[in-house]
Amino acid sequence: MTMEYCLGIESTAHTFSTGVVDRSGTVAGLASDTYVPAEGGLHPIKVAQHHVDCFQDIIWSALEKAGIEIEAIGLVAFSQGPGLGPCLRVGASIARTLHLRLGVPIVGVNHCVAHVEIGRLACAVDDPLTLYVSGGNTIVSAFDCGRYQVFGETLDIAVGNMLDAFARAAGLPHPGGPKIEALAGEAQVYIHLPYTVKGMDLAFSGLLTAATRALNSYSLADVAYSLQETAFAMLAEVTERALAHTEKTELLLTGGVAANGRLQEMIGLVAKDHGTRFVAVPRELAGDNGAMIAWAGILQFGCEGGLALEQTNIIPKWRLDDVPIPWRASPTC
Amino acid sequence: MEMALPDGEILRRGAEAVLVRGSWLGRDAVYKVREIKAYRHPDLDARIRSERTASEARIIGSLVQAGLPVPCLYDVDLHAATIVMEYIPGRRLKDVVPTLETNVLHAILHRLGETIAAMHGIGLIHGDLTTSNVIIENEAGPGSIEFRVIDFGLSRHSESIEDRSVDLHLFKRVVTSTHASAFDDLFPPFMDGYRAWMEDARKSDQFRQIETRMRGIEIRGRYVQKKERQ
Repeated sequence: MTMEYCLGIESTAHTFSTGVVDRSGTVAGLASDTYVPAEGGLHPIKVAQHHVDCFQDIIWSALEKAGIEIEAIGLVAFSQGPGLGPCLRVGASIARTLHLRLGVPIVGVNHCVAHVEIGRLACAVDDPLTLYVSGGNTIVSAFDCGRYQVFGETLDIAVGNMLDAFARAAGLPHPGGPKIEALAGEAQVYIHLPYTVKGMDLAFSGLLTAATRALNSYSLADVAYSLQETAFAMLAEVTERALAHTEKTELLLTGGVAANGRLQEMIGLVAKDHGTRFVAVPRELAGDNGAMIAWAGILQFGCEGGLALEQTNIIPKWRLDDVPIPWRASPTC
Repeated sequence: MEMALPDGEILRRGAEAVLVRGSWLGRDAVYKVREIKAYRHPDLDARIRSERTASEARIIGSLVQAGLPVPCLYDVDLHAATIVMEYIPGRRLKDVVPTLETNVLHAILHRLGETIAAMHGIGLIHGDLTTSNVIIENEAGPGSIEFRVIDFGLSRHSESIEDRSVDLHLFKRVVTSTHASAFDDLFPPFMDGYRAWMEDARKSDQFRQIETRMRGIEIRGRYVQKKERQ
């Protein structure tokens, strides 16, 4: 195999990103642009249009940062799912075009697998329990029996989605997470809000409704603080339960919401209680990015080779635990 | 404020509580202590520990009264968030799955299914049914294997089809994630036992509703494709 560099394309949701990664796992170049709605939430068609408008600049920028010509690319990887259909289609179309134009193999990557794999690479952990929290996903997962098994997940909306929706209701601009975190620092009181944990799964919609209603009677800072405390305590509890259940010795925090300082602190304390090594993926690789797609593409290509063009259809609802992980040895099965 | 744990061997430091072996009025006992969690807000922490202790004690009481295989309740201390209950000698189902013969496993899971159906029948949801929460009592031989269901910290009263279905769905998820290669020896016999109890109780209609709802829950979850999972 002559492939030296893999170009990864991420377009599952509001971020269009391209990463250039070499075979050893060095991120040579990464460029991204995130769609910010003027008002309201993410409209898939408008987000897709954003990706169409910016993809050329982003790809050239990533190549320029890597200091290579596009001809040096030996493999093209793209986010095949899960995600918003119209957005995924943009990334897939670009990847197919590059595949045909450059005459290099193409691989379709599961976005959630990529988050876990870049975390293992960037944080130098081998077999972590992973808490993956973002606008679209809330998953507690660990490797077993050839797959990233899902031990806990949201039963309704993702935690990042919940924070964004609350921020919208409170009149805060998108994305809501960082603003809520800043406001929480000014809070005076903790308000009791619904706390919904079912085994290792959780639900956030009741919390969102109650917090939105609480805005009528309490200050925004108090509600923002209580919302964070409640939602993150739920995440910490399911993480702790999964840790006790799987007995993993490493704990990895990733996804866009992983940037939250209070969440990092709480999950860190859980890890400490169980004598577990805690790592959080660096911010630039924790959120959606093309480098993780490129790296997962390299791993996947090494075991399974490339896809035929007719296998490159997007998979908008693709579960993490549906994906075989042949590059990891599976001693228990 | 630090709480002092009772003296004795720590049997297990779980996610939610510490289990300490001790004695209670001369009997072999387990102290289940919900320790303070430094990571969460003190108000939320106090609420969760006290509510779950009270609720768990009440529910164990109801289950004992219904004659279901659970540990006997000895004492409750809400202030110390502690429950004292019967000590069950044995190993977790999770640990014995690889060592048990298939027919024994089938028999245990069938009866576990009946037990959970009976629990649902008296209006209770387990809430955290896993293979770690079933203790196989010291084995006497095939046919006479006894088990007890433990850990009712997330249990609650509900008779809704939705809550019962979620209870079973969570167990299915645990079996899938923890015992992927033994799934067929665990989950189908469990559901057979559940169905058998429901049929005996003349609740076949309810069972069909639960089965349908379980499929609905899987599809409702994030990112489930229309095809059935393998």
